[in-house]
Amino acid sequence: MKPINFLITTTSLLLLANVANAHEATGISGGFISGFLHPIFGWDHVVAMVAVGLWGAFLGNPSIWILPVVFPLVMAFGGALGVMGIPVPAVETGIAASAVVLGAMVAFAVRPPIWVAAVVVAAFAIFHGHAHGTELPGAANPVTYSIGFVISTGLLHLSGIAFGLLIRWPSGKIAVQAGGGVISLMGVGFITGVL
Amino acid sequence: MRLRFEVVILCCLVVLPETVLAHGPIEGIGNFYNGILHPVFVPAHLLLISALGLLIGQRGIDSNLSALATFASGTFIGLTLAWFSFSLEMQVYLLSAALILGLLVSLDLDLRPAWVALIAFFIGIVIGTDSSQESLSGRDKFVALFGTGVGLYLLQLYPMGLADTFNKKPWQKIGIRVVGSWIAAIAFLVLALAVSPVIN
Repeated sequence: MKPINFLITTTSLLLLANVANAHEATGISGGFISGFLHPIFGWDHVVAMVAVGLWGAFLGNPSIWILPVVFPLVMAFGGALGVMGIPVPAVETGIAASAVVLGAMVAFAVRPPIWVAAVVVAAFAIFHGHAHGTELPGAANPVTYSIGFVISTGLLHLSGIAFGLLIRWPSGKIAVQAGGGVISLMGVGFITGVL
Repeated sequence: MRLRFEVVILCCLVVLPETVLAHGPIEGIGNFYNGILHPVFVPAHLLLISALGLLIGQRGIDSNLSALATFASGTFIGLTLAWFSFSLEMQVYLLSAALILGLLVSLDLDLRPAWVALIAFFIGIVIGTDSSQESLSGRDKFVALFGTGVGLYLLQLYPMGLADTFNKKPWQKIGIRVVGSWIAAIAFLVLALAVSPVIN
């Protein structure tokens, strides 16, 4: 082989080589990781989940804890619809709308009766659950995928609750309401396609 | 030369295949420890054991000591059935039980100790029966199943102790209920997948 051909071949091989992953996640761990990351990698999911926690903190006891209990259960129902192949109209719009509405609730410090808050959160949970549920059949391990995305969703609620606890202080209340406003605007961005 | 090559390949194919194992045990740690780890590597078992532990702990260990005994006896019966290779497709039962127990934990319903003990008994039977080690036989199988029994018992002690300890302040009680709702949600989703006409 001529030196120039050898050089071209070697360079091509070096450029084409892929990264070797030593710990490729498949099976149980792969299912968990893909499930855990699914809500986190979607900005629309993240801001809506944080808004649930923030709103719960605004509403105070017992809503601060009831909403995160209601959400996963209704989300599972939405997920089941997705798994069963039952279509839910405008899922992506519903997810984006959840950010708009829940963010606005926080921004304007709306305090409805607890059952109204639970119904609002539950209605949006169906859209989020449906989006996760449609991914479930393709997961490496459906059980660990579900464990991953439910825990991930719960932790996002928790981060919202933690942020929302700042409302004890006047400046913290302003920060939380501003956070709600940002979430609501992001929701508008998702709906209009700007984000 | 060619015939020799084919013989070598054939010998390799005969020698290299390993035993097919349902839950991929870890090599080199022995049958007993593999048995202990078995429930950890079967997510449905882990889910159900966690729910049971939370259910018992939430209602207080002191008033539900009988559940510890009935769980042990149920597990013994289940593992004995597994020893005799009595196996059923348990996934749906395991997930249904996890869904019910998760809801019971999230609703924090008042259950009599006798009911909790009865639930623990049946959970022990179901998980024990589903822990069959078909790739093993004789002493190896006995050791692995014994390890599974120990593992199941140890595993349920963690969530039980956690739920019993964190059962004083309101936020702790709600935290346990939140975890119960997570378990119910996970079980419901995977159950939907199991019965989905789209998949089946």
